[in-house]
Parts: sequence; structure tokens; C-alpha cells
Amino acid sequence: MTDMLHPRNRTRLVRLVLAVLAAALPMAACGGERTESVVLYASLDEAYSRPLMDAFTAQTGIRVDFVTDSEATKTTGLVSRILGEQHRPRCDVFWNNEIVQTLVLRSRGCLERFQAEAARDIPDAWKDPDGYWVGFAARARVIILNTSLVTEPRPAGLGAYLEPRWKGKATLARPLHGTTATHVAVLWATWGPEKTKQFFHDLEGNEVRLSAGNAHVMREVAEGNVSWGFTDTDDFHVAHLDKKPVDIVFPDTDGAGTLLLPNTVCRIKGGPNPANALKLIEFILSRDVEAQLARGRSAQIPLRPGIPQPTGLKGLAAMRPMAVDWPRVAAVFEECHAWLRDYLAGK
Amino acid sequence: MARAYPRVAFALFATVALLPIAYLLGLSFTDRDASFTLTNYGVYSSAMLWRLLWRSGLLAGGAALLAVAIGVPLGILVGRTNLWLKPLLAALLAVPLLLPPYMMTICWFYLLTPASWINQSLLASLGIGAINFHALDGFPGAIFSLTLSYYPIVALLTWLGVRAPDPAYEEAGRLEVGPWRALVYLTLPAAAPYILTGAVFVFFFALVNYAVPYQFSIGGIFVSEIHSQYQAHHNNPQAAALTLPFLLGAGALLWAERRTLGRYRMAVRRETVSAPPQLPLGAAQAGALALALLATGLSALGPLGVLVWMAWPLDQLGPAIQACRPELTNTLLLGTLAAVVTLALAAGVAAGARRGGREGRLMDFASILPLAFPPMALGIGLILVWNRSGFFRWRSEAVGALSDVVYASFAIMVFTLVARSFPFAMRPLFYGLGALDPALDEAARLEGAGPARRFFRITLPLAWRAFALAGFLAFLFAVGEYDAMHLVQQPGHPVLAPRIIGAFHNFRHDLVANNALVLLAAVVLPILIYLLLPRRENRRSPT
Repeated sequence: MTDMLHPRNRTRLVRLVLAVLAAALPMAACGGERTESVVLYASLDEAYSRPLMDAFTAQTGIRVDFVTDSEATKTTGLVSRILGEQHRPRCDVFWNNEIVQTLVLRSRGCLERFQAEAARDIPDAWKDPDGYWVGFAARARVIILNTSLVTEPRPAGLGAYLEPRWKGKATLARPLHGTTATHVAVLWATWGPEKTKQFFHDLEGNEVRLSAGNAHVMREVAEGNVSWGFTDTDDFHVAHLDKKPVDIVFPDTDGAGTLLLPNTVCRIKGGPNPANALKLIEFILSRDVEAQLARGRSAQIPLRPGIPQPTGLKGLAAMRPMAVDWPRVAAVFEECHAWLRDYLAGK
Repeated sequence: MARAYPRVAFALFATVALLPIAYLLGLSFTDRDASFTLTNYGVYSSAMLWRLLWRSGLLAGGAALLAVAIGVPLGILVGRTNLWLKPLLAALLAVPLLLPPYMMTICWFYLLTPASWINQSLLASLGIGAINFHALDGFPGAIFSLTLSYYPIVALLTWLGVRAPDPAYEEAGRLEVGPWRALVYLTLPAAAPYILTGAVFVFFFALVNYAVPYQFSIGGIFVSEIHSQYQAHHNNPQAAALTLPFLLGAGALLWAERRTLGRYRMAVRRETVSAPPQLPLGAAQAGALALALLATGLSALGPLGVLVWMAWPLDQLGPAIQACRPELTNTLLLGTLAAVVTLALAAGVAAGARRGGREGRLMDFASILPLAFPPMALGIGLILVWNRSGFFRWRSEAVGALSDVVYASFAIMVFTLVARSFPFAMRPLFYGLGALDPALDEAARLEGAGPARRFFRITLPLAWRAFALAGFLAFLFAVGEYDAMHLVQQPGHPVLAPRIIGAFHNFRHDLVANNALVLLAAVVLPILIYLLLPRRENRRSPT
């Protein structure tokens, strides 16, 4: 028994405890005072959303507990969460970086009406007439192309995916998540189911590659693995800032024009901090935040007049935005998604 | 250890890790209206099944075969030959295990960009065309990446395997044939179970990995389908039905482990047995060293080097730590908490499994289930159990409040990490506790020592290596976890892994490199402290 208590064994124990404590040191830094708080689910990248939320906390003293989507889940991940938490909401405010999933949440009864003073100068076209959501700071669905690989004439729109000269040389994000899912739902609402289905069969015939997401599309084009693909303006801008050999085409001349996808902010029904939720919504919809989003790496396009446009991108006035019947898109979204689910299963 | 403790520990483990799996299994027999149906299993009679099986098998099988091809020669070279620089190579072998696979992939994306030094200088000078890692679209890149992450498992098990048999057998063989033939015909067959076990483990690790196939845009495999069904289609029953093969796989995994490691008792090598003789490499020394350096260079030196190079001159490391302080703090806090909880539960379950009988076998089998289950699916199961939409569907405030304690706090993140780390902590403890003489505990009990006293005075001092290894493995897997954490991450509790992958997609190379180095340092710090302290003890010993 005394052997078991040998000093050597005790030393080993001390070593073990010290090793555990070394890993636990940061615990000491984890204490925190109880403050007022609000819970935000944001499908804006954490790198962009955190400075804004820090600014809100500095202004109001309200702590923002937020979670952002990951590259793997995109907006649908946060929507899954909100739907799953419907019986006991955890979230107060949902900042969606597109619009259709917001409309899906509305149709599922997850949203609460609100009025925001800060939204009064946002054009009515970007606001829900019933007051469930407000749109701001848009991104556009554009073509990103590799300047070393693409010669004139450049691809001008979706139709280029079917041109023989781009066979096996173009890519599209898997349209199950994010803005690509929205884009396809818009096509479904505009073209109708048959034409959309045929389009996807033709894409397969022309060997268009499916990437995991828009960031993958951007990376594949920037690295020269494919010549071009559809992505969002923020992805193009990131590659442009990194001095990749890329350029942008707004599909203004092709079909119905450029699809603009506004960020949308909404209040979750039954959220635990309703008063603070309204304060956070006022902050998110402020001109200052929209201007910061335009200046930042994500280069979002302001929807309000008078806010400087992001450098290197067309402003709203210079492009031909596609006219979209958003309620109709939301109505067909599930049907479109169900078809895509089956069509893409195992691919 | 109190006799009731294994049961208590197992009950807690079952709540944390088995309940989500069982819930998913039950859910797979329901439709969206919660009525009984078998339609979710229609996928197993469709053509899609074969596509999923083929593509998943290709990915995991490819990684396992390559891991054997690299790991076995390396294990033999380091374990049984007079290869130069063996201590360095042994240390480098451990490095890939410290890097989460998604990080290995990111490192290789950087190492093989068209403008990288490897492409522009090294390969160009050899007259080889540039390799674009991203152009290794899909399977080749993912298999390469998973192999580099996991081949050390095969190498380390081979190393153990070729040293395990009694050297006397090989000595006897050498009387008839040369040392290398004796190794090949006598020792290697005895080591085959170790190698097979390593291959099986790599196969399953690759099969359940979600992050790496995602980084290569690979669809049409089981994990991507589960993810799509849950996230994109909100079809939880269908997602649950797709986890069935993994449950069956857990049985195969346990069988492989018991038929190999269990039979050969890897952990119980008596010190009285002399070390096996080292085999001379002779003229092959330089070639063998080059091969070993190539393998470890690809998996350790290259990835570490590119991270340091990208973070250089390291003056941004301080600001980077400050910038990611919440993520770093949470990652380490959660990792530590998860390691402590895992260790406490795994010790109890391991002791219970050691007692044998029906109960012991049940504990043994159940403990390995989470290993063969995709972490991402485990995360889905935990969410569905604890978020009141599924298991805790009752509207009663009292019952619902129980689920809120877990779901509306960082507890669900700890649950996730414990469930994920448990099998890795349980195995060393199972074998470590098995090596103890039960008579010691019994004698102490007869002397009147209580369970706590016996544990801290007998079990822990004698099996401290097993506890240290189990705790470290739990911590290691917890801090690097991405597949499940990106789903269960709670508001106000950000962690590092999703931040690193997000920064990679946004071309924030500085953030990626700095955060990755910080994460690596956090993992290495306990090892360094542990390694430094024994030297002091050794210096004291002669006096």
C-alpha cells in the first residue's frame, strides 16, 4: 500500500493535474457579468457581423449572443434551427442574407410583425407590406470569370451554360442551399417547372460541374480549374481583393436581368427578448450599417439612395435588376426544392 | 471504484451519446407526421443506394488502402529497424493526428496553389507539370487528404504490432532464415491484426468525415446525403434512415477490434520481455530514410511549414489571438470540460465493461457506437432530442425546462464533444484497467479503504498512463471538432473550427494561419508541459 503512495506516483498525479490545468487556464478569462442581451442568428459571415454587433453593444449596452451560419450549412442551417426551435424559440432576430428563406419562415408562422423607424427611407419594394420583414443591402447574382481562360464573347447569362464552347468548363453551386437555391426558385417561378427541369437536364448534358457552394465556385474560377460560374457579388469581391485573375459580368443583357437578393431582417415570434430585438433591428436597418456593409469586404449594394456604392461594382442605378414576384417564389420554393432534392440525390 | 459507479456512468453516457442515436433510429420509422412508416427505407431498394455505397466505399476504402501502403512500411522502419533519425520521425508521425483533417486539407490547398513554391520551383525544376490541388476535383484530393490525416494510425499500430510478439520466436526463425525473412514470415503475420485494425479504423474515420468531402464538393456519399436531407430538405426521418449502415458498421468495428487488439492484448506487454532486435538496413538506409522523410514531410512538415510561412513574421499572432479570444477561450474551455467529463464517464464504463457478463458486453459494444456514427449525424440527433421539437415535445413547462437546460446553453456543445470523444477515451482505459491486478483493489477494500480512496491511491497511480492518454485524446478530438459543432454551436459561444473554415473561404489567409497555429499550440501545450516535468524528476532522482 505504501508503494502506491510513493512520491514518484504522486509526482505523476501532479503532472497530470498540471497538464489539465494548463489546458483550462483560459477558463479564468471566461467569467462575465450578467447584462441585458439579445439573441441573433445571422447568415452574414462572422468576420463581418462581429464588428457590427460590437458597435451595437457599445451603443446600447446590450450584449448580442449571435451565431452565424457556416459555409457548410448556409442560410438553410439557421432556418432549420429556427424551425426546430419553434416550440421554444431561442432566437430574437434573424438576419438572413437572402429573402426566400425568410418568406418560408413567415409561411410557417415563425415571424412576428414589427415597425422600424430606421426603415422609413428604404423603398417599399424591399419591405413586406404586412410588416414581417425588411430588406436592405443586396447582393447580386453575377458571373465570375477567369480572365486568363475566358475570351470574347464573354458568357452573358444562364444561357451560356448550355453553349458547346463551355462544355465541362463552367460551374454552378449545388442549388440546395443559399442564394443558388433562391436563384433556381426564381427560375421555377419565372420559367415554370418544365423549362427549369429541362434546363437542369441540359446542364448535365453540357457537363456543368456542381460545386459545394458559391465560395467554391469563386475558388474554382479564381484558381483556373473552370472558366466561369455564377456566384454572388461578395464572393467575386473577395477574389478581386485577393488579386485573383477574375472579372465580373452582370447578366443585364441576358433574359430578365440581374437577380438582386437583399438581406432581410425579421423578428422571431416568441423570442425571449422582444424589446431588445426591436432595438437590434433598428440598428441593423440603420443607414450607417448599410454603408458599412457597402464599404466592407462583402461589398453589399445599398438599396437606399445616397449611400456610396461599393468600389468596383455597379450600383443599383447602373444595372437592370430582375423584377421578381417574391411571394410567388416563396409559394413555389418547396415544390422546386423537392424536385431538386430528387434530381440531385446521389449526385 | 464504487460498484454502482459503472452503471451510473453508463446511464449518463447513454443519455449523452446513445439517446440521440436511438432517437434517430426510431425517427427513421416515422413520416413527417410522426406516423409509423417504412418508406424512409425505400432508399435501400433504389439505385441511389448502390451509388451511395460505391462512392462512400471508394472514398473510405481508397483512404484505408493508401494509409496501409504508407503506414505499414513506415511502422516497420520506425519500429524495427536501425533507421536514422527515428526519434524525430516518431514525433513527426504524431503531428497529423494533432491536425484536424479539414486543416490538413486547407494546408494542402495552400501548398499546391498554382503560384506555390512547390509548383513554381520544386516541380518545375524536376520537369514536372504544376499540380493544382483543387483540380484534384473530388475523390483524388479527398482521398489524398484523408490518407495524410489518418495513415499515422496504421503506422503506429504496425509499430506496436511488429514489437508485440515474443522476440524469441523471431530469434528461432533467424536460425533458419535471414532477419528480414524472419520478420516477413513470422512477425508480420502476427502483426497483421494490428494492421487490419488500423485499416478498419481509417476506413471508418474517412467514411464518417463530413468536412473533407465537403471541401472537395463531393456529393452522393452517405454523409452528404444525411446533411442535405436534414439541412436543405428538413426531412429528418429520411436523414435518420440513412444512418443505418453506420450502426451496422459499429458492430464490424467492434468485431475487428476484439478479434485483433483484444486477442493480442496490446497494452499488456511486460517489461521483463526483452526488446526485439533492430534489423539492419545496410545499403538501403538512405533510401529508407528518404521515403520516411517524404511521408512525414507530406503529412507533417509541409502542413506545419505552410502555416508558419503564411503567418510569418508572426508579429500578427498576438493580435490574432486577441481577435479570436472568444473562440479560443470557448474552444479550450469546452475541450477541457468535455475531456474531464469524458474521462469520468469513460473510466466508469471501462470498469463496467471489464467486469464482463452480459452487462459488461453491452457497455463494451455501446461505447464504440459513436465511433462509427458520423459526428454530423450525432449533432443532428442531439439537436432533435434536446430542442423540444422531437424527444422533448411535451408542452409541459416542467418537462420542457429540462431540455432547455441542455439546449439553451453551452451544455449541448459539451454533450456533443463528450459523445464524440468517448470511444477514444474509453479504449485506452479499457486496456489500461485490464492490466491492473484486481487483487490490489480487493486487498485495499478488505483493509477498509473506500471507493474514492482506492481509486486515487491504487487505480489512478497504477493506470495513470491510460488516464493521461484517454484525457489527452478526448481533449484533442474535442478542440478540433467541426462536423457536429457547426450544427450545435450556440449563440454567444463561438468556437475556432467554423471560424477557420469560414476565413479560408473568404481568402483571409492570415486569419486561417494564425488561428490554426493558435489551435495547434493549445493542443501541444499540455504535451509540452507533460514532457518538461519528468526531466525535473529525473534530475532529482540521483540525489
